[in-house]
Amino acid sequence: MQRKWLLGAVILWGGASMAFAEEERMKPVTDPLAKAECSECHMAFPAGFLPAGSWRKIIGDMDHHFGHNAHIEPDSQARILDYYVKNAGSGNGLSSLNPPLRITQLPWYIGHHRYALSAEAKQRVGSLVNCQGCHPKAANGIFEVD
Amino acid sequence: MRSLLLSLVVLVAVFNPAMAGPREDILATYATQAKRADPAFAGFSAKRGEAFYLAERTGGEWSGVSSCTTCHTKDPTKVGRQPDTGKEVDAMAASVSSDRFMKPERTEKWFTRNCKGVLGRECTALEKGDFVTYILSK
Repeated sequence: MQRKWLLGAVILWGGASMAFAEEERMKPVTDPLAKAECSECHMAFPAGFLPAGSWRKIIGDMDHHFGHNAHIEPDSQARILDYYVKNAGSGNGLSSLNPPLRITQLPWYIGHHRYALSAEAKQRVGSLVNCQGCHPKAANGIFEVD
Repeated sequence: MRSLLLSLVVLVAVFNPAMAGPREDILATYATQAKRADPAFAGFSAKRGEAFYLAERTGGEWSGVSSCTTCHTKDPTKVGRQPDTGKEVDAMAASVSSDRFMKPERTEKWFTRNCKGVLGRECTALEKGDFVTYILSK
């Protein structure tokens, strides 16, 4: 009897973690220009991570991009912004007057990254922005960790 | 005889190192600009390029980036890293990264960004030509 319970618990746990794993995906950037330009300096972050208002602020001012001048030629900038706005996240629960600029400060992000990294991992990954440091398939929109 | 001559021409074109390719075109453009800025311009120097590459700078727009070497390392044949994003930067040296200085617009885009970021100004044609000459020598 006890063994049956245990088996049931294992199956439930397995099912739950599978469902959890399936959620840890986000459609990757599909636009070739956006992918090429953004990934020159960092992974091209999926548009669904932030609402349209955030992307308008971020991509609208590439000359002041998180402390860097990441100037993009205006035609390309307009096309990339258009892609990001069309594929943006819903922004549920986020301020539309003051849209967030950093994915790493979103509540779900903080919740998922609350475990302290080892010194070795910090050194290897270098920055929170380096998704692929811990999620090797991030550029394909797959964020679960094996 | 004619075909022999033709194959000779083709051979010279293929093996002549001075043949104009994208990199030579980029250097030629900078040379024209450098000559315009200073009629005494007498060619680019890998040695000056190396000193430029290794120099420590102040006045750049980016905090924490004080030299080309911050992201590209002191050895252009080594893989570098963007300190803010953690992204690996392909080695500068063309002997390691074959796509370096193959597209003039890409070369210009990065000179524009990085010169402002590290030096706080645009680089001169002489500096760019010296830099490219140095990197291509590695």
